[in-house]
Amino acid sequence: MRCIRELVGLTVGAFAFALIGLQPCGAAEPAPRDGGSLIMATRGQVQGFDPLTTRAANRETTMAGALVFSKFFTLDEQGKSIPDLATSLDNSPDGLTWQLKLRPGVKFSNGAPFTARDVAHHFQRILDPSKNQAFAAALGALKEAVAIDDATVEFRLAYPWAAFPSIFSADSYLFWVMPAEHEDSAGPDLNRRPIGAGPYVMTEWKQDDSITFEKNPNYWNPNAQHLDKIVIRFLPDPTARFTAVKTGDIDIFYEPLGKQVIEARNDKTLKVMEYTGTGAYTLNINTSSPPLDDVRVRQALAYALDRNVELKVAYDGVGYLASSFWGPGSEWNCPDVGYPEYNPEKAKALLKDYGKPVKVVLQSQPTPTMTIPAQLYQSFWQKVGIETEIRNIQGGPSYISPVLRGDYQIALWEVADVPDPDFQVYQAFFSKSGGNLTRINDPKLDEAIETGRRNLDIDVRKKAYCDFSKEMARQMPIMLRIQSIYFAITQPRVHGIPPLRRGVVRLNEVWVDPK
Amino acid sequence: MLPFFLRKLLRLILVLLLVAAATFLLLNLLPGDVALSLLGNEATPAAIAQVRAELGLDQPLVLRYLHWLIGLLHGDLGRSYITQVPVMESIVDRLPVTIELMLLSQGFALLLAVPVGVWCAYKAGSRIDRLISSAALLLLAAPVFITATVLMFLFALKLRWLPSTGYVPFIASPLSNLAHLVLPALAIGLSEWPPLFAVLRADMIKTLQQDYIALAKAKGLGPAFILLRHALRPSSFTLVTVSGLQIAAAITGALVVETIFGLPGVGRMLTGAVYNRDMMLVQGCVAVISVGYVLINFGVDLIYATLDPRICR
Amino acid sequence: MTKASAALLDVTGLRTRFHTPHGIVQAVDGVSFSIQRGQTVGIVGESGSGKSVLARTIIGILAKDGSVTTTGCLAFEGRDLLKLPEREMRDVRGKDIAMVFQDPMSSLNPVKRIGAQIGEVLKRHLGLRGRAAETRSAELLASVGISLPAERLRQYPHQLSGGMRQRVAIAVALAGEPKLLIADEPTTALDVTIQAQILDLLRRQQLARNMAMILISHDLGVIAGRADAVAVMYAGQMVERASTRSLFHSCCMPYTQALIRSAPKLPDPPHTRLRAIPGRPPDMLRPPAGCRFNPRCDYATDVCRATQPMLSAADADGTHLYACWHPVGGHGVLP
Ligand SMILES: Nc1ncnc2c1ncn2[C@@H]1O[C@H](COP(=O)(O)OP(=O)(O)O)[C@@H](O)[C@H]1O
Ligand code: SF4
Ligand SMILES: [Mg+2]
Repeated sequence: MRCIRELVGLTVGAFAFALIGLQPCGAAEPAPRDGGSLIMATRGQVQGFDPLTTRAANRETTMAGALVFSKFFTLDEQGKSIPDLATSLDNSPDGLTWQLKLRPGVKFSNGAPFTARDVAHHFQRILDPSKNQAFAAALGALKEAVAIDDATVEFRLAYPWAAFPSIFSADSYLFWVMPAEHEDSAGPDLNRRPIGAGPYVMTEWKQDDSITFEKNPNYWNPNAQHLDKIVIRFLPDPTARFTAVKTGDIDIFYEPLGKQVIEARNDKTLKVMEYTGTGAYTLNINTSSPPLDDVRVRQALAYALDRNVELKVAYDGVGYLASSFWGPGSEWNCPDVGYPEYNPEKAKALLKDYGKPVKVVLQSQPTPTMTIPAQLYQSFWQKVGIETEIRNIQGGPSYISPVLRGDYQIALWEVADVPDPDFQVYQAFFSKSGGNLTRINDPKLDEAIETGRRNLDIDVRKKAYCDFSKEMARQMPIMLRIQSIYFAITQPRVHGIPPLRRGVVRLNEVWVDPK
Repeated sequence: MLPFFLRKLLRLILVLLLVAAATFLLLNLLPGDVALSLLGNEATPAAIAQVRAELGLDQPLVLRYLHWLIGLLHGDLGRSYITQVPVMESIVDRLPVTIELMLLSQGFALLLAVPVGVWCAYKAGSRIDRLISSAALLLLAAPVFITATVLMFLFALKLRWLPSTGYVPFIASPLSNLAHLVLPALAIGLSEWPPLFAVLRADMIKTLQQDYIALAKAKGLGPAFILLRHALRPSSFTLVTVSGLQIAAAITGALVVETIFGLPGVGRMLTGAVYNRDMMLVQGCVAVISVGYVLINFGVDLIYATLDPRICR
Repeated sequence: MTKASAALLDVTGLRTRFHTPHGIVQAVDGVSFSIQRGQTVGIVGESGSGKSVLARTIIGILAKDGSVTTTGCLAFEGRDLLKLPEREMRDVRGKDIAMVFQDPMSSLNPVKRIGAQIGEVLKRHLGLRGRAAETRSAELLASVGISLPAERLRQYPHQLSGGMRQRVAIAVALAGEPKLLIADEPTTALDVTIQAQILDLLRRQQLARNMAMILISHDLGVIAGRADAVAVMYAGQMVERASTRSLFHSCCMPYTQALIRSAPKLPDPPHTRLRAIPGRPPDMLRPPAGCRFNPRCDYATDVCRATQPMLSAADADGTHLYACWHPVGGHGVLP
């Protein structure tokens, strides 16, 4: 059996490089202080803690869950894997069986021991296709989880899956383990009565308003618990959030607007946290909907976009243009994938070659962050002779559903920042995947995705994803806009927030100066 | 008085039943499927059927309505489709905030509208009257979110007199509770007082031309006494109607203001629920708001009866 | 001026102007008369002749916002009410001078109990409150002929008939023990059958209290047996003034004559159609030059159209005054 450390370390080491744009943390941080409380304000609200109820998780949910449920392994700032609820993960030579050893003596917040039975029970529950087919499909190769003894869980795979270890350090709501009895008996209340083995306990949840966490008295590592109380407040209006952080009513303002970031940078009383992730803001193209089924039309659309203008106008110049899903800071970055540069002449030539007039429908949301870019695209495409109709749909599920159903032509979208490309790329671009948003069916892409999924050699995988990115630039099922970039504005009294990987503010070990 | 009261009560019950039915039907006949919204990714027919069965959406509409109505009569509004939290629990939790906000905002509006309206009617046509009347018109045109943002900027950010956002329950700290509600209530109140002012001023001017005001003057009574003790009550019928309508309509202001100031009220929850297509929650909120609306109108009728003795005949 | 100082109220050259957007309305244009304690003066004239404005000017309840100007002299017990500060004037109103309005439907506050409407006068001017005020209010109601006075105090105006309401209004007026009562068409809005009762009530109260009264009506018949002296108004001006006897026996003004003719005779059954005076009262924004009555006057001549006649005495002691170039005495009453 090979030691997991190697694998997880490698997979995750990428993050050491992904930290571009991080504020200099050169000055040695003083020793953490215990006590006090902190309020973070977010745009969205927490959906809940039972994956079978929520069926999806926004970042607010992820951040809240991270407080209640620790991960099996955490990553330090260098991306090194550190044992948390688990102490080790070992695999059989064929890569089909993995044994996860749990940390002895860990308890749930209700005092019950955290056992292999609970972990296995949780995995079995989310793997049950009668409860949710999507999860079973997403966990692909994982067949079953079995408790060998109190402290050992064995995971059995259908085929070797290179990214499998990364799930144990992923910020995913799928892996929030609650006591087996609670999962069985809580019924519909499971979603709002979380019991975890993490550093905090949820003490109050006011839907649409706030969620409050207090120290878990049964936490295994009291040295890593600093704050007495953490409140996440949902304040949809960015101006209100900005005002609140300026007046000190809140300590962390999550997801500021570009111009607020610029203003806060010049404000001595505020700190700006910034993280450029992998992932990008995109324009998905439905390749099954004529005239977008023709690659020349898709290429023309991409060549016609003057993305630098967009960056300036829509993002106040804050951010970087994307050319693949994995930015220059990522381990998976491929330097030159041949993503189309702005070239209206070429766009016109491609359209002339295509021969017929082109008319497209762009799905957008009636919010400033969406309407401004949408109108820009309309004018860019107008210049090369493409007529664009903007279809505004209010956000939330009603925006997402048509895209998932394939009932769209072009839609503003976002590809998230993930630790390992496989999960996402397989889901969204493999021709036979249920979540093939763009309906792309290309043997070269499929081959690269398969290789990336099944091969255990990191270099082979990297090359596969490089091929993937190049083929994506040629096939153009998805236009890339701006590299995903995440911001938070905080009071200077807040310390110990790790880099905002995947846009998540990890509050577990945060501490504050007294007010 | 009693038959009047009973008649009103009977009508009230009828209206409530109609409102309940209309709420349910309207929301359930709206396009859009919760199952689809919930599933997103894997919206295969089998998965949709699975979710619909879980949520009871596979039953016929009439059955669902009866089920919901029986629940409603027991004070059970079902569970949120998204979070599975009982709707009644969420509403009971939020309602005090919204009620407090609406009463406070209406209080502010009346506190502004009544003295200013009475004064302007007394000084009708004077320069100060014309000035205030046009200022009121201007405020009427200002949307709530603008007023709210300006108030927040001024009193929370620049002057630091009041907190910018958030909520503290009254029992936890009455003072802090009020401090958090002053700006939101003022934002709604400022947009609500102009119509109150306008109707009061107009009615008051008419009243002041009545013979009984001339008689009051002929009795040697002073202007303050005449304005407040003789003219105000007979001039406030329209005021009470408009005020009642406004308290009810303040829910739209609450939608905006609760969101901006981060108050955990019903308006805020409703906004979120609509956004998430959480029809069970929307249904519950709308039912409760409608009941509130009807109750307020009932209250207005009762206030009428005390304001104008001629009504209870 | 011993005579003037003996008078309770001495009105001299009173003018009341309304400044309207269309121009100035001279609603009262140089009116002079006086009234002794315990005396009743009738004021008569067609609708729009300025009777109510005159009444409101005397009691001082016209708008104070500058849209109305009043000149002349209103000597009440020797004090000029026009020069009295508003604050002191408030002590005069309701106490020294009280008023009964034309329409009891609108002159009582619909949302206040009758007890409160009487009580506030008692409190304001006599300092009575609580029990004492209630007892006094009930007494007042009883004195104006209202049965079950204690119960009435708790009622609202809409619960009473028109005649009852006017009695309440009279009680309100009497509450302050006024020295002068102005009754502005107190029966015009009432049923004919009740008119006499109310007029008799007023007369009785006036005599019993030795109170002076200005009784205003458009109907000379109403005033006939109830006033000691009568003043006739036309278009804001006083055109004839005399003792009641003298006026009915030897009126001088053609307008007075027309009024006498149009008044229902007492033997006439109620609702007898009156002989209306032909033509319409003048537009007060643009009154005719000369004698204001000239467009409607059967005797009008060029001098009437050119020059206003001044008040002149018809008898030796100057108690009968008239303003006319061609007094009817000279040519006899027309058939
Ligand atoms: N507030 C006012 N503004 C302007 N004109 C008025 C006002 N009140 C009365 N008038 C005018 O004064 C004149 C006399 O009215 P009034 O005294 O009410 O007549 P009446 O003899 O019928 O009581 C009328 O022409 C009337 O139009
Ligand atoms: S002055 Fe001439 S117009 Fe006037 S009333 Fe006498 S006769 Fe008639
Ligand atoms: Mg009159």
